[in-house]
Amino acid sequence: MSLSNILQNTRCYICGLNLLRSTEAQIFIRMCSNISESKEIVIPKRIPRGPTDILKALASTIKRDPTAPHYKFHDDPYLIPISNSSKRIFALSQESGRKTAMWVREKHAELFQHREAEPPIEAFFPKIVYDETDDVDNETLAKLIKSALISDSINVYKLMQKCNVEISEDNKQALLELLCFFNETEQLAEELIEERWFSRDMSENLKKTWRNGSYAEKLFEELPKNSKTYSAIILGMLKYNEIERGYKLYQEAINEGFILSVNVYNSIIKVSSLVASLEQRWNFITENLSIMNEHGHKPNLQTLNAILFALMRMPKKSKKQELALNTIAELKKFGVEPSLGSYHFLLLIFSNVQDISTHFNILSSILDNIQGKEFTIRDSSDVLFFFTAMDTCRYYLNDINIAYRVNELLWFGNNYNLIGNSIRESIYYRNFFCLIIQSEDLKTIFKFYDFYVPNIYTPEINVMEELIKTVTMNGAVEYYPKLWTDIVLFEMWNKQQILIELLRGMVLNNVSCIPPSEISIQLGETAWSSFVKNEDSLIKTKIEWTGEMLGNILSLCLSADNFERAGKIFMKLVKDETQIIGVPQFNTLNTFLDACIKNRDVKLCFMCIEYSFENGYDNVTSLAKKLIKNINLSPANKTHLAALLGQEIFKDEEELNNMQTDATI
Amino acid sequence: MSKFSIFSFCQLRNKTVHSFKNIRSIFCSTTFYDENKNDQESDSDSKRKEAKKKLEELLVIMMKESADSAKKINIPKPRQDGKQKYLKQIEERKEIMNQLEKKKLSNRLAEAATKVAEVLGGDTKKTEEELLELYLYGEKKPSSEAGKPKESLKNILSSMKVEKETDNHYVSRAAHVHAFKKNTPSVTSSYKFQLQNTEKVDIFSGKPLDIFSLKKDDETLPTLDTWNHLFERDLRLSVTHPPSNIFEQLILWTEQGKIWKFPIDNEQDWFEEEKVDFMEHVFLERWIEPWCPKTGPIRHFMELVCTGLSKNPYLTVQEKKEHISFYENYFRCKNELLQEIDVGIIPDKKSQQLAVE
Repeated sequence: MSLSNILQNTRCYICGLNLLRSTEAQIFIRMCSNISESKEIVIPKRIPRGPTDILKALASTIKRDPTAPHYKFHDDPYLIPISNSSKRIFALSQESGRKTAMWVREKHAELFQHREAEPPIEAFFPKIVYDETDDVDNETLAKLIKSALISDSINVYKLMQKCNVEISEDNKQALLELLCFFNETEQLAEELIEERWFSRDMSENLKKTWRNGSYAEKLFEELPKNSKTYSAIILGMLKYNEIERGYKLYQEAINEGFILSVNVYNSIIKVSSLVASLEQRWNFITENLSIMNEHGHKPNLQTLNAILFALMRMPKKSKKQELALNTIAELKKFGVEPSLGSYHFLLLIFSNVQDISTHFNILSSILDNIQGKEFTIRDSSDVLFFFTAMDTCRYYLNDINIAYRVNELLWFGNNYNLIGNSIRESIYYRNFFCLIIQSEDLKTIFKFYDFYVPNIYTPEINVMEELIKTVTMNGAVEYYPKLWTDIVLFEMWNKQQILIELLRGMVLNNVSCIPPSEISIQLGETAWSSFVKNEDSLIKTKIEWTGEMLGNILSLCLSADNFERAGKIFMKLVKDETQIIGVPQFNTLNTFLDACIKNRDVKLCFMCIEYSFENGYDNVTSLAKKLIKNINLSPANKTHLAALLGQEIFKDEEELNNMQTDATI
Repeated sequence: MSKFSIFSFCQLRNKTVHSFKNIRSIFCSTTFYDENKNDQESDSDSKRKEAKKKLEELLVIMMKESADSAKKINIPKPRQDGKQKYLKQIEERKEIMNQLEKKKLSNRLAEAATKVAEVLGGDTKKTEEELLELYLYGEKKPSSEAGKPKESLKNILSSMKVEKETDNHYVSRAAHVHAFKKNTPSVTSSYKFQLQNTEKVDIFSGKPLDIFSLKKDDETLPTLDTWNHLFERDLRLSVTHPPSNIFEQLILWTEQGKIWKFPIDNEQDWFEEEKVDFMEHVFLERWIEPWCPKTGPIRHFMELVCTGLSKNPYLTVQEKKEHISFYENYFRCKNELLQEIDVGIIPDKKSQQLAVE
């Protein structure tokens, strides 16, 4: 029974399979016929993939998530930095840990005898120390020079000289180039990415930093004079702003008929503003370009950027804008496309305070040209473009639409890498946000705010101040509590100007009614927390309370119907009277007195009147009269009042009493 | 009857609904107030206070109502650009023109008012007067309420004005802003510069300088290899930012040579072993074949040694061979003992070589 069943099933299955096969075959035949009709199948050639290609493809699928902190921070709510300073501290602490580990590895290499992997990983080797016992050869020296280890290279070079090992000419030249390139200053290790990200770069420094009588100069004297050695020493001198001597050597080399490296001509053009006079400058540039041509060099991107840099330094009245365009056209002939750095110089060349339109036009044409393109770094000035473009948008053009275009370009592809470093990034966003705050409506502003803050950008104090002012101007009360929360997170709660603006705005836009509305209560809460936070803080530089600020907090507490808190603020006003600058508005004191009367707090009433009297308000008597009218004072209190303000204030009341007594009589 | 008709007339003149609402609410409140006035003459001070309080409450309600109805209030705007200023000027001029026209119109209006009064019937003169007064209300402020009959429209309206003003004082700017904000977009301070010319600059439109001549690459030109290498290194480092996800981190580690390269190759960086075939590592039995007994415990042991060695990735082939030859020599030294327990002997090296030959 069961067996026959199975057999049947199998048969069915086989039938089905046959059926499937036949349809498949049909499809296959049809496909074949299709193929015979169309072209031959071309099997693409195997594309060789590098070790990081797959990873790059994977990385490109991940877009920056603005709701998450940067990858480098621990994904732990307690450890996510929000303020600018904490971001810096957290990242650099991590780096510092890395450095410590490296130090331990170096100092106690004997403790790390285990093998991490087979074959061993070179990156994890302890640093090699070279001394006289070691066999040093040309290979070691070449390796050291390639990894840009300056002091080690010099050390090994000296050792080799001492041990009478013959040093190859190539190595000597390479060492000279290394020393000139870095001016013999030890470089930050490649691995310390965070430190580089947060450091201030000195590329724009115009001070002379070249070391006179350095080892490089000695080496130059030792080596035979040829075009390569000349090139190296001139490049080094010009790079570190030893212009005079560098230029002298350049002339010397040219006179002796040496054909120098292309970099030298570029550098000479770059420093033309320091060599040639104003009138002669363009001539100087063209002269050197012709020399370059005579020597058989082709111009490259660095040539273009050097010329543009020199033009940027030219006076406003010169024809520099035309010359810049001509230069670009000339270089285009040689297939040199301008890089982002060229556009950065172009923007600066076209900047004109009197006529913004040229500036606007150049930026929009540049953007038309490069919109939707991905850039890789080609010149060291490339990292300046986004920074300059946004700066132009804010300070010269004041145009939000073009700023959006710049921002779009920045976020396109891998262009974000060209932002420079953390300082440039934050200035870029500062300009961008100031522009948004200036020109957009509140809804849009907060759309951007919610997107970028706090993980991509944390606003600085002045940006926050602008934002608060805008909220105040729009009367958008509901944003104040949110802003205060952020201010606390950004560690700005002890910043005077922020607090002044916030409190002023809240008071200006608060609607007091009875019973207090929900928003009033929230505002009262915010104001109180701003007070408590500053009072309880342990930091040494405390905020300087002004009368206006405290008065604002007082009135906000009152409108939130919190008399107890208002009383505390008032006590602060009275207690630190000598330290607090200014006084609150009379209205505030008036409403406070009303609240005191309502709560039957005679003591505070008197303090309020005393305070107003001492601070010389005009309408103290009106306060006193209100008190007399609404509360039955004891004789002692009455004499107190009379002592303060004179007997006249009881006049009205006496009259009233007299009238009453008259009536009864 | 006449009062109602005046009311509808006033509605017509104002045309907008919200003002009608306002007037209605004020109308109610003022009648209330009038009643109080009547009482006040006979009642004591406390009652007066009570009434005042009630009135205040009513006013608060009224203000809320007016805030709800979308009333457009002129609040100061932060910054105005030239265009708005210009528009303002135009409007001001229009207003002046309107006022001039109104003066001419006033005569005609008076005629119209009498006509309306006639149509309405009743006390025609009074109606006409009131109508004209209503019209004039926009220009002249009511001088005084005293001495006027209580029920007159003017009295009602004038009292309304007074009440409202006192009320405004309490509400502050904020209330206006809130009312204003509900239906109007938020105020911004955007202003744009005037472009003097909007011609775009074509970046590639310049005339070439014609300094350079086209030529082939010259190999003999000096190039500073180390300098260029360091320049490239600087460029690379200036765009190497803290990795922003795990893949970028892995890319960085790969470049630094700290992790396996993709695609995974477990012979990565074994440059020495590239010359050696894997068979040399795995098939090691052939090294025991010449000397080891064919069967027995020694054979068994040596096969196990071979299996173990074939799975060891840490030794080179040479080391493996040495390992095996160590056992060979060891067992050879123990030949006597092996013979005693009869597990086969290890042949001498010489005889071994002979056997091979």
